[in-house]
Amino acid sequence: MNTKKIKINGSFLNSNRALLFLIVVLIAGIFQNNFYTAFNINAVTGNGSLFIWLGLGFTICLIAGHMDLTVQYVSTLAALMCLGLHADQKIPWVLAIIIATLVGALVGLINGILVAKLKIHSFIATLGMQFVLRGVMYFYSGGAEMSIGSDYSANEVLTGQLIPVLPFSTYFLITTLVIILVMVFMRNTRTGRNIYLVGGNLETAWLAGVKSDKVTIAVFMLSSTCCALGGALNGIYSGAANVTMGEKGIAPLMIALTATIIGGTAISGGAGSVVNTYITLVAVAFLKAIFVKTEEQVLVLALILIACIAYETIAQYRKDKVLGTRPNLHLEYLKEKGKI
Amino acid sequence: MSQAPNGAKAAWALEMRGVTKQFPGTLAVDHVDFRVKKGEVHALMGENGAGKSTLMKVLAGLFNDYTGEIYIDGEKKELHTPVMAKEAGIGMVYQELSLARRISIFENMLAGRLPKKNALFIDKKAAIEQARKSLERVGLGDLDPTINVSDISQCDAQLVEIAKVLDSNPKILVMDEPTSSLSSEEVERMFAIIRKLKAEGLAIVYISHHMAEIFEIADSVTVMRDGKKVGECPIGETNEEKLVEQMVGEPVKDFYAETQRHISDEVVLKVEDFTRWGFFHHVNFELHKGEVLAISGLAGAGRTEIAKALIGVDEHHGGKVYLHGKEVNFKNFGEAIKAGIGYVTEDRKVLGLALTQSVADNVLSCVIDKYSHGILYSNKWQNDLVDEKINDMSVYPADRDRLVNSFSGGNQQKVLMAKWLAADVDVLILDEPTRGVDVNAKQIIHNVVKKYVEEGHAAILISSDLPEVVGLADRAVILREGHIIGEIPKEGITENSLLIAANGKGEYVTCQK
Amino acid sequence: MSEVNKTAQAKVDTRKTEINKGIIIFNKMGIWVIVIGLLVLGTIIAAAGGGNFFQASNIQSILEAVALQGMVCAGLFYIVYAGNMNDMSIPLTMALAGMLTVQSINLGFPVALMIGIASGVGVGLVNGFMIGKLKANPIIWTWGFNLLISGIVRVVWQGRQLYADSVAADTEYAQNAANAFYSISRTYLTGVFSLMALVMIIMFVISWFIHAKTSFGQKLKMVGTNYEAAKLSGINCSRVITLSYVICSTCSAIAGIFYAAFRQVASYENGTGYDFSCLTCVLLGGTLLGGGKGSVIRTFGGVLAYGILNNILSWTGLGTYEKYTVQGIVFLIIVWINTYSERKLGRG
Repeated sequence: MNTKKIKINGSFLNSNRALLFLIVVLIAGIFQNNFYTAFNINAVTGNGSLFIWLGLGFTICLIAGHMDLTVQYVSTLAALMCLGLHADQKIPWVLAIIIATLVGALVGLINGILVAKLKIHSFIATLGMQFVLRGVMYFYSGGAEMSIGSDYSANEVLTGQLIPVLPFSTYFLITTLVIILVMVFMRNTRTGRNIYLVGGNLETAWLAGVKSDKVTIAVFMLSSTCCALGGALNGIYSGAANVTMGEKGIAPLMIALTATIIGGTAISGGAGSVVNTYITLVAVAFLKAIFVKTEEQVLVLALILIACIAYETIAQYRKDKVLGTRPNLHLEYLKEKGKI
Repeated sequence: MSQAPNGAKAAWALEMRGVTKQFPGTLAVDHVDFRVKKGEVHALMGENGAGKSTLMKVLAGLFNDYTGEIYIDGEKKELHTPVMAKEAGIGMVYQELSLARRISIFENMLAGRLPKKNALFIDKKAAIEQARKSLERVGLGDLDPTINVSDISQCDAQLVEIAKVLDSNPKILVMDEPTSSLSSEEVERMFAIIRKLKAEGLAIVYISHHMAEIFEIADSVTVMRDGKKVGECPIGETNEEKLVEQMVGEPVKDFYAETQRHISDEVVLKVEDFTRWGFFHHVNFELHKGEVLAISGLAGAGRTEIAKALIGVDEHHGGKVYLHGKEVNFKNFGEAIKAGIGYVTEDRKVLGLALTQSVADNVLSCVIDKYSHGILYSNKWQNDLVDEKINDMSVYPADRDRLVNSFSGGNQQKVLMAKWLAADVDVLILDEPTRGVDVNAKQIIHNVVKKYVEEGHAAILISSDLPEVVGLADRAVILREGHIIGEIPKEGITENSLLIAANGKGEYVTCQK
Repeated sequence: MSEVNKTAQAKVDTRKTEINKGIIIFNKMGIWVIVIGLLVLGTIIAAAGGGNFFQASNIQSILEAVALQGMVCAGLFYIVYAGNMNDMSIPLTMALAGMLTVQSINLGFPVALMIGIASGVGVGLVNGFMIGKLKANPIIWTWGFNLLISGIVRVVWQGRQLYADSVAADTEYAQNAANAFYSISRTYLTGVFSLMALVMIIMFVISWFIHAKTSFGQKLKMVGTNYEAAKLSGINCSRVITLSYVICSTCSAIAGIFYAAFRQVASYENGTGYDFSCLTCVLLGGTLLGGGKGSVIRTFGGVLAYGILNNILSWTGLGTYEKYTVQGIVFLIIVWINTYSERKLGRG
């Protein structure tokens, strides 16, 4: 009886590990100076928002059973474009953001076609697109850093506090809002549920008449659109963008992957939640405030990631061993062993 | 043309006329007329490969190139995709569960057609309610439809699968071996549900090998053999013997030329109290030199599992295995091959052969260590051996460098056999050695097996092809639900006795579990 | 019986599936055609710019550029061939080997070298155990493990870069070792032909030998083509997969040591990007992503082609990032052909 209880606790903790991670980080924060200050919380969540967008994109794709390695580059390209369009072509901010986002959607469309129609493995297809995008980024920016210029109006909107009582920047609130929207989309629309279905069991989807190709393309477009929007906003928020945006410390793509896995998205698809990825990434953002040194951040994150992968691998390994047990015989086994 | 001829209109819920489905090389279903009344359970019987499953797959819309006509409630329907079949009122419960395990029950049930609240959102409450209603129909009213399929038992998953099918309001429900993974209490539960559905006016097609089940649940029965319909009658007008006779057909005596083999008393392989918990328990048998021993039983009785544990691929939890009188305990298959046990796998395409490699690669794949010099190895050193073995098996074309996937099914199976002949083992376990091959390839394989045992080896045969067991086996042990329940000597092995014994009845069953 | 056999043959063989000859030829010869085509293209582009493609300095730079990549590819080939797609832990395996070698330079050059290589073997064993034995997802695991090594390396050395001459103690022995370490990447045997290039070629020869002439190579072929069938042919799949990771990581470690010597610095950033560029080379060489098809010699061709392509791109005066676009598009085309031919071969 006792062991059974522990078992339930274990799986309970495992399925809520994102939240657990956040709680541990927040508790650890108590022992830090200047951790729970409005300024710190505002800065930490604002700076961490870009990763939330990337994690969002990566999670959606992984739920559908694919990997999208372009998330980081789509967002950088969008940031460059957004700042560039405003500074050079004098396009108003809103329009610049929309254009940058549409470019992102286009990249997603290409990714989707490569994977769904040309049947290239998503890992490989998006890997190739990574290179293409890095080149395009350079063509666009000439390698120079793009700056927000003298027009700080949009920047002030994003960095400002929309709701005075909450110590969060508007940028982070928008991020959170989009997460909620995507969550609602994934949970409460047919297309959203079909994404889970396609990732969970292609055969079930086929028998139910779900067009998996269309779903795959939609998934990649959604992922890239989110990353592009996030990137464009991040460009405005941070006031500058360059081709190596976010490459200091851990590669943003790696953070997106790590958070997705820690957040409990199934590696082979079909299960997971963008909210868990979001919680994990907020935790990661605060973690960075606790461990100031990049080295320590990397190590801590890596240890958690490895623990999660190892846990899941071993659980699966054990499950496979008893796969196909006959219920009658199992009952008999229990009787013979005197367990019932 | 869109109406069935007069008189037939309302009587039959389903009427298939002259349905034919051809696979490359075989005619799986040959001009079959199949009809089911409203509110009856109609059993569809036949041996493996008789075409039952293919016929039902046609009905489920899995093929778009069948010929013949299908009427549902007297209306002619074209069934070319699963969705078309579903819309026409066909509900298919698949043998392998088609549920996505990490997804909740209600979503699995309503996959692709979740009810909508408005243009944008699905109505989760309505979906759960709808799912619960369907679950109630199968007696799972208190199951929470929001939990994942991976968290429920296999029996419940099977019932959820039925509920899923029922939810689309089918007129005809097709069940392909729905009880194969259920315990006896669970089977009773399933039957209660089937009776209820029948009372609701559904036409149910029930495919099963279990005679007892058929006589318990079915109202009428259609028997198929070799892709053709051979009989149809109400269940009251037939009995087990008659059904078996119809399924088996005329005994093909001359096909398996009778040869009296000399079986020595020498025990090659002895298995004592062999157990893998949950798969097979306390299995005992002996295999003599020069003998073909059949492990006979229904699919799912644990035959393949015994073989895999015997050769060290799967673990076992108890019991002893003696090979030539010496106790052996294989940690992996490599050790077993070295000691002299081979295993011809079922399903050559997935488990048996590396299809995109050459014949030589495949034939030599289990003797790489044997013929390597230190770390050095080359296929070319064994060209003679490969040629000899593919000649023994009459592989055509006899080209050792040809890729296996460019051969026909029969020749692929011969390559698989050649591979195990090349391994030069004393005991060969043959798991469905001739499934899905043409008659000539079958005969060649049988002749090779006979020659193999006559040369002083021994073989264990696992086959659902009863004529094959009758023709090859010198003795059969009967496996039922993971236990050996009896043994049939050479004289007693007939298709009838095998079928009856596999169902746990008849004179040869000595210990009833 | 033979009568029966004859008729059987006549009946069944009508439906053999023909494999497109073009695809087989492309698989066998394609890469050499590409290499020659690229050489011709390079000559033309160089001539148009008033240069000579085959001048010693250019050949030298091509060889230097491909040497490190080649060393990794000689091992990475086994991962792709076994059907595990890519080893994402290559960058940090390289970095770790470089760091350890430099750190232990005081023990003398040969010992330091051994320690560096041993680190590669260690990484390979861990990867092999997790993927071969416990069947972890190869991409996710190696990627995660890469991050873990990165974390360990960064914490242990506090994110510093290591220089052999400053790590070495102030003794003649240690300084000699440091100099020997630097010299391995700067030794030229005959004119343009460096020690690095020679090591790469030796590694390819060994790799070719292992793949084509040993029982392990034959087993790997079966495992890569059909894992289950290999298991049911008595092949110890876990061991084969583990060994493939050990080979890959060892090759990466050797490349990492040369990398550190070549750049004269060991840091956790050494080897960044090698996971992807080397995969490009292996796929360019015609190794099928699904496993079981490919050859070491053609992989070498892939490495050459990649090096020559990059060289041509620099002749055209494109910047690093513009090169990326071309590389990306080339990569996608190659992969598409690869996937396409794989489907035509009856899989995918």
